[in-house]
Parts: sequence; C-alpha cells; structure tokens
Amino acid sequence: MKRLPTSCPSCDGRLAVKRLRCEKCATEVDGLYPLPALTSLGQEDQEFILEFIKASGSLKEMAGILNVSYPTVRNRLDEIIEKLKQNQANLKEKK
Amino acid sequence: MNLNTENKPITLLFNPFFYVAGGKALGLGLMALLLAGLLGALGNTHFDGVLDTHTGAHVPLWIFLVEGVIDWLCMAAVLLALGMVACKTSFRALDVLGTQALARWPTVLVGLVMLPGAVRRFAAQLVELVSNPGARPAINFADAAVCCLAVIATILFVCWMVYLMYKSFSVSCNVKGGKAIGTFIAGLIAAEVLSKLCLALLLAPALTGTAFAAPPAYAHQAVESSPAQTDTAPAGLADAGVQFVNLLVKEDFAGAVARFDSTMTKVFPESLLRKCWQDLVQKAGPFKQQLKVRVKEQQGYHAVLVTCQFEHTTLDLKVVFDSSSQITGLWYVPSDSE
Repeated sequence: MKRLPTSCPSCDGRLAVKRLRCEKCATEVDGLYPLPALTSLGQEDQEFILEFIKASGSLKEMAGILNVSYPTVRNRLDEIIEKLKQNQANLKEKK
Repeated sequence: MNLNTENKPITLLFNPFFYVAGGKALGLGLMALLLAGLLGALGNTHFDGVLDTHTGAHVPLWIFLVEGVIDWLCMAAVLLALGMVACKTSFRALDVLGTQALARWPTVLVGLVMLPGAVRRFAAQLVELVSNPGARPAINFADAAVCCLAVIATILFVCWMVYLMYKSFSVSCNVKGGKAIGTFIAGLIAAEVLSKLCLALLLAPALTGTAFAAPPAYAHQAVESSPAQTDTAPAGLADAGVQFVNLLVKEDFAGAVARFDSTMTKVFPESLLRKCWQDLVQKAGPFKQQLKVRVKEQQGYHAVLVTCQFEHTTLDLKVVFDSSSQITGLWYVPSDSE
C-alpha cells in the first residue's frame, strides 16, 4: 500500500491536500486542506494509536496485546504525545 | 506494529522491565529477595546496605530477610521521590516498587557464590593477617583461589544489579539520558546512606532484645554450634571471658569496652553496652553467679561461653575473641545446661 507523503521532498515543509476525488462519480474538488494532525506521525506510531483506540484506551490491555510491560506502553504513548505537541508547536510557529 | 526489541535474550538480561513490571515484577522480586535471604543465612552473607555484601555473623534468618527488604524499600522510596521531581508525566508507584525488587535478583547469585566454606575460611585468614601482622597463618591456596573468584563474581553481579536498578528507574519513571543518569546516581548514594541508617536503627535494637550483640555484619563470625571443646584455644582465654563478665557485673563498661577490637569499639560503644546489660538484667533478674566456662572454636575465632545464673534464668554469655585475643562479638543465648 502506498504511503501518504506528509512532508515536502524538496524543502521538508508540511504538505496539504490540494485535490480530492470521489471514488464513486469521479467528481473532483480543488482547494487547500491541511492534513489531520495524526498524519504527521510515522506509520508505526499511527498503528499504535489505532490499536490503543481499539483497546478502549487501556494501557494495561495494550501491554497484554503487545506482550510488553505497562510502563513500556505508557512511555511509548508519552513519546507520541510529545511528537504531536512538537508538530503542533511547529505548525503554529510557521503560521 | 512491533514494540518488541530485536534481541529478546539480551533485553531480558539487561532490561527485563521492557517486558515485566508492576505486580508481576513485584512477585518475582519478592521471591528473589526471599531466596537471597535464605542463601545469605546459609552462607552468613549479609546484604547490609543497598550496595553492600559482607560475610558476617550467623544470626536468626529473619535478620537476613529484613536486610534485603530494607535495602529494596530504601532504594524504591528514594527513586519514587526523585521520580516525582524528574518525571514530567505520571507513573505508578507499583512499577517502581516491583521493578526495584526484581532488579535485586542478582543478589541470589551473590548468595550462591558466597556459599562455599572456602570464602569464609580465607576471609578469616585475611582478618588474622590484618589484625596480627606478625602472625603467619597457613594460607590454603585453593581457598584463596575460590575466594578470589567469588569476589570477582560478586563485583560483577553487583554492577549488573546497579545497571538493572538504573533501567528500572528509567523505564518506570520514563526518565532518559543525562538527567536519568545524574538523578539515579544521586538516588543511589542517598539510598545507600538511608539503608545503612535504617539497618542500624531498626536491627541493632532488635538484636539487643534477643542477642547481646553488635549489628550482624560487624560482628565477625560469631561461633554458633561446635559442641566439642577445643584444644587449640590460646591459654588464658577462658579467664579473659570470665574477667569480661566480671567487668559487666561490676558495671565497669569502660573497662569492658577497652577489650573490644576496633570494629566492636566503633559499633558497640560504652553507652550501648550499658543499655544492653541493663536491659538484660531487667529481663533476666539480678546477676547471681557464674556457674561454668567453656571455650569453643570455629574458623579461627574462639568463643568463651560463660554460664551465668540470674534470678529468673540461666544464660550463656558468649564472648567471641579474635586471634589477637580481642573481643569481636558478644551474645547471650539460653544456657545448654538449663
């Protein structure tokens, strides 16, 4: 599966969606839509968040699913939260 | 998504907390503490401080167990406090307690390598050499080799334990890098001091209740069970034991303390000796008379057992002498003749 590029290969700037296309009738919409915050995360981080939501946000259950300890899961979540905060802060600076 | 590391066996050895924490780690850690205490009791190995391992006196099993628990709790309490300051996010106290208990599991291995009698025999020979430079004790080179290997292994195991403690702190409190290392080193020093204080404050009074003795790790190799009277006891040792008891009866504690070796003088000052004797007389009743005296020998030490009749009971005062006839241990036990 192709990965959604989120940063510019030329200047590393954040990419935005310029055109959307309906899969049913092929209608195309032009505009400038910012990407959701979660897309700024890497593939593994996004998968972690997905699993976390599916586990009802239970760190304990996540630890069981991933076969690691509770603090390992919590530390990973803290890392992701830190990345999201950093990305949002960068976006605000650019604005 | 895969959170597992590439090399699981290495991770299990040096950072088991990646996989195990909380209640499970606490259960495993408590089992390790129990096992280390049992092995310590078998080999008279005391874990008398967060980082300390010493061969010492044979004391009741519960002392060995309590030493391990105090070491663990001191380290965990200090790191919990430091974690609250250093950690930006929340963490569970259970993780710190559990992983710190599990981090002490190399003490089981230390207990094992200190089991051979060769370690204690060679240690006794070294003590004799240091305390009596003129003496030329027969050195058993096999004992010396075993002892050296045990000491090297112990140092490695203690280093490993310290690394595990660090990883436990880093994982449980989510602290990394220089901040984690600096905080941990400060915590380790503080915990070592705290554990020494706790052991001195909690165990010394408890010991004076059941045994009339210095803290266990300081009273070297008190003689426990050697029924045969020795023929190798230096002349006059029985008299020295009797005279020492006479000094206690006369409450000449300064004179009694003057017969202690340097370690005993440090850990068992005159005031503590006075208190112990007075506690003993309060419990056993006023001193009546000395009934008999025996000398026993074990691993280079001589214990003079002076059977004393008190108003309510009869006790053996066990005065342990080193090779230079200085007192290195002091106990009371129920008399064999009672």
